[in-house]
Amino acid sequence: MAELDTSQKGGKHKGKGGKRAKKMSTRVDLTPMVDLGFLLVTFFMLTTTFSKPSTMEIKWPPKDDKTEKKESPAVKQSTSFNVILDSNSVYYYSGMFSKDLKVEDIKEAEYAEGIRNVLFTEKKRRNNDIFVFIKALDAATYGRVVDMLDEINICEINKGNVFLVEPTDGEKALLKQRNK
Amino acid sequence: MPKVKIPRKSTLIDMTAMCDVAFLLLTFFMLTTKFKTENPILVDLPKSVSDTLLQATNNVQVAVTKEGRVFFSVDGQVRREALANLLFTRKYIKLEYAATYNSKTREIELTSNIPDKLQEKVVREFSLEPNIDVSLANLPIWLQLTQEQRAALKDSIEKKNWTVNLRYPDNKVVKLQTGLDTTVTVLDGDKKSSDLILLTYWSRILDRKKANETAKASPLTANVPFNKLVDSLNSKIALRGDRNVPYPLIKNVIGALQDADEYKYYFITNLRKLKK
Repeated sequence: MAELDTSQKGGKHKGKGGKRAKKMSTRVDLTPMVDLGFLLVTFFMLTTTFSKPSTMEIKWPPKDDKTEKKESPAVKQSTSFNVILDSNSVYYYSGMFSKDLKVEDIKEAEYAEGIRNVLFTEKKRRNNDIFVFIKALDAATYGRVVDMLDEINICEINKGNVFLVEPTDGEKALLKQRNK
Repeated sequence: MPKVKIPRKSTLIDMTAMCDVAFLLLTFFMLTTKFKTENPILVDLPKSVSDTLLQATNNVQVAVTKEGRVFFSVDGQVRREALANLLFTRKYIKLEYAATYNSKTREIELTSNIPDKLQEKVVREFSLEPNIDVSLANLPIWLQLTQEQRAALKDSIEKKNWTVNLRYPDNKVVKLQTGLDTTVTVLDGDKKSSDLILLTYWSRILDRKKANETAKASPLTANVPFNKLVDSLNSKIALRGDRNVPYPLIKNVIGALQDADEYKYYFITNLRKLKK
């Protein structure tokens, strides 16, 4: 027939050179190997974690039991701004806490955009020279505190000017009056 | 008209190239992979715009669940093993009982005859288990159960509200709770101690030890200040708090970290996008 016999079977063409070594094909069937390769690739692709969690870096001051009872660091009256976090809304007032502070001075804002706008205007009013005291009431959740810190980030307030402190009894009393 | 003969082409393809690519990808994934850890501690993370990523290795993670349970985990098997050995040699955890779980009574039965090499076994289990699920006092008992038993028990305690008891040799029965023991004891000299304080403090000591060893081992580091060396190994403290946890609970956790002389934390958050 018209086919060329390329196979090495049969010793028909033994000829001049005597015995010739059988020429084996160097081709290997790679299909199983590829199969296995892709199987492993899929496995590793599915089990791997690429996403590292995103984080918010926070520095906390060292605990010093003796100074803790004192009011927070000395900051000018005009530059300080207080934020009190409750479960669903934020209370805020300017300046330091004093006996003269009235219930009307404490204002209320929503979380997220509400307090963000307040922070922006307060920051502008003080020419970026602002110290923020964040005071979380017991009713506030961790998520709310993170939200607040996040707003600080968004407003690009220097993190060194932000302090997380305890709300004072005076403030708590005023808030109670306010919410009557 | 002569028939047009379509030449029959071979269906064989040259797979070499495909094989090359497959194995290239394979090697890449094998080398870059870091297995997803089984992270059964379910936490609803708060959101923030901050997009700093946590370093991939060498972290210490403190998780606080919605119910206020605190869990601790250390990255890396070697570090965990070192930590376990430290805690045993310093007697912060003690192997006092041998434990078996009785699934009928849902009790972990304890006996005081401790078989040989049990401590080595517990240390090995500690190094294989990413999370510390129970208080340090109960940890040596807990780690004697198999991994499957622990996973199943933890799940049942937290989701199905099972009570699992520890039965001591004198027939005293104590309920087993998941999460670290958060009670703080004041030692003499105003020092405070709790599970969390101990774990944080001693995992930081590991960094210092390691730095010491590298400083001794390689002359290249001779000119590097020790503190820098410690910093380079520095494990970061990541806090995975549930956003619905009342803030006072988080304050306690942070208080414990402060007592362990740690002042820099990374709050793990989900990324949120700002609407403009």
